[in-house]
Amino acid sequence: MNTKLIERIEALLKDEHFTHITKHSSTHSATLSADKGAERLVLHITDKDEPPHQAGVNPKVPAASEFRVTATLAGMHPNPEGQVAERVGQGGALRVSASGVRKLKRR
Amino acid sequence: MPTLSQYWFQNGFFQGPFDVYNQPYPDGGWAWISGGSSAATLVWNRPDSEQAIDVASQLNTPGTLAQIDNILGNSANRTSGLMAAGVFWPNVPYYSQNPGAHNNWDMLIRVYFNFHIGTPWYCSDANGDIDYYIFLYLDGGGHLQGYVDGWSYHYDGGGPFCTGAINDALNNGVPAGMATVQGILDGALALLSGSTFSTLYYLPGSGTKTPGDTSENADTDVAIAVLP
Repeated sequence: MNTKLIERIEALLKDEHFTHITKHSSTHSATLSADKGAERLVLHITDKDEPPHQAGVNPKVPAASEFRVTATLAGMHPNPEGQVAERVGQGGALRVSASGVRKLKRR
Repeated sequence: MPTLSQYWFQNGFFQGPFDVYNQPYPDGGWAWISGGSSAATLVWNRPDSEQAIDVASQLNTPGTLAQIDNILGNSANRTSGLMAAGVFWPNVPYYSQNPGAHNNWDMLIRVYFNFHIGTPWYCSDANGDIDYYIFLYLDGGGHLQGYVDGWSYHYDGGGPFCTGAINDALNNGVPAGMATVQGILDGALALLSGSTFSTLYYLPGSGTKTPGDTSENADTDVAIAVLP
């Protein structure tokens, strides 16, 4: 991101006797603040909106073939809006078959 | 002696405040539990051989908390203890990045804590949570294994100009913290490395088997249960 404008304004603020000139920069933004007496100034430049949330996958995970049994409630249909099951009244039993694959037995 | 446990969730299945009633009964016998109104309920028949591990109490040790605080460095302050919750795969924030990674009914453990980040005068301070998602499984030999599946963070505040700097700090620290959390997990799983199991499931809250009624919160604790 081009921050030359920030640098030019910083020089201008010094000429205008502003003090406490501070610069904070991030990958997608730069912010300049300063004050002169009761006057406070903030200049902010950004090239991207940055939402206050992120999530990522671990790139180093075991292969699914290593999972013999997982913690599951097989047959559940969780609602993406919240953990509200879309079906009610179901039951099940967790068993490990001879082949080692967990199966659901409906009651 | 087996225990019949019934959970009544006030807000939704496997989330928020809930009541549990545990009723032990003799082998070959029977038990009943009645009453309770809720948004959802879960009943589990728990064999006497069940081992239930209270995740939150295991995590909130001085040594573990110190390791977690190292993840944050000077960029943020932890403002809560470590909390844990069972979540279904579609409710994990990065689900959309690879929906086929797990079955929709598979559960992960969300380990998380709250944080605070101070900001310059022209921004509001940020308060939020940092989350790691743990996937546990039994391997071909019946040993309990696990890994950090992913991470997320969310916060309020930081406006109007500081979310970029906050995100930079968190984007550097939080993913790198997976190695720390994996180390903590490996240390915990090593204690069970000599045992083999046939079944793995999660129970909301501490996994208590204490007979009678108990009130807990599924958003702040979960128990890992295994059967030989």
